[in-house]
Amino acid sequence: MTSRTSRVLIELLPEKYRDEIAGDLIEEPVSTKRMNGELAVAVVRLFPLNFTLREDYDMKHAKWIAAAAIAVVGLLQAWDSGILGAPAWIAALVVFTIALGIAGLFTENESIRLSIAAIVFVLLFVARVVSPVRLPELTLVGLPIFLLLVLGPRFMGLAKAKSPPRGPGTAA
Amino acid sequence: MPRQDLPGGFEQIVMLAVTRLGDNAYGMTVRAEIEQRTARKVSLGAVYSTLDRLETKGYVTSKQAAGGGEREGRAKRFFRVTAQGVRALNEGIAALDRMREGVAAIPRPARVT
Repeated sequence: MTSRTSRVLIELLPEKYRDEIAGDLIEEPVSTKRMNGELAVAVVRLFPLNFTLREDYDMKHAKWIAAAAIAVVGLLQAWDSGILGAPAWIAALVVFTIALGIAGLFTENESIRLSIAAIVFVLLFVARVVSPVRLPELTLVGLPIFLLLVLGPRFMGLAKAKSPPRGPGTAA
Repeated sequence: MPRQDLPGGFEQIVMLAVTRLGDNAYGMTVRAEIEQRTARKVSLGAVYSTLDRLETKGYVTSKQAAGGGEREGRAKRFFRVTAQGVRALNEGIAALDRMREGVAAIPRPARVT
């Protein structure tokens, strides 16, 4: 039986080895404390695998278009919010937030993607609150990021399921 | 001079463990084999990240298999060293031997029979 912490850590493992690592630790009689320790180490060591692209060409293409959309719409919205009048570190925080949102597009791990979507809003809210200059519309920067991180994969999955499989014998 | 990447120290140990285990080489058994033979604690994360790197290099292949009740039905991934991996492993060990040759402070250990 796995603890709640273990279940959260298992969700953060890359999909490729999630079942294998969890199964190994269940099979091996280890204490909950050791299991959580092992899982935490595995999450850190295998974290880059969450960002390995394994989709076909069309999916990769769609992600780069989404990344460009986040960058352009996010920066335009930040400019429109008056970010140029804010201190440099606030602007840097907003740029970091946009970059984080783009990084979120390239993970297959849903838990990490949803966490990034939440962190983006928290960071934008913090930037808005601590900024000495009023930036009332700054949180709107997070809207395209939220839409593409949370809803995008669902639409892509639906589109993929509807399109006929390509392969030998398929008409061009 | 071969251009193949020489596997690192821990990579060599993991490949040797996979070879020793034959058809029963999966994460937990590989870790147990290394811990038993080297008398060192090794994390499962280190074993899997090394196996993943070795697979990317083409030195090992893996195959997923269904897991039983002892693992709550979670899949197992069995690993096998490829012919390319065996060549790279031999090269790595031979390179170490050549480097050690003539170094008095690090003599070659007596062969275990």
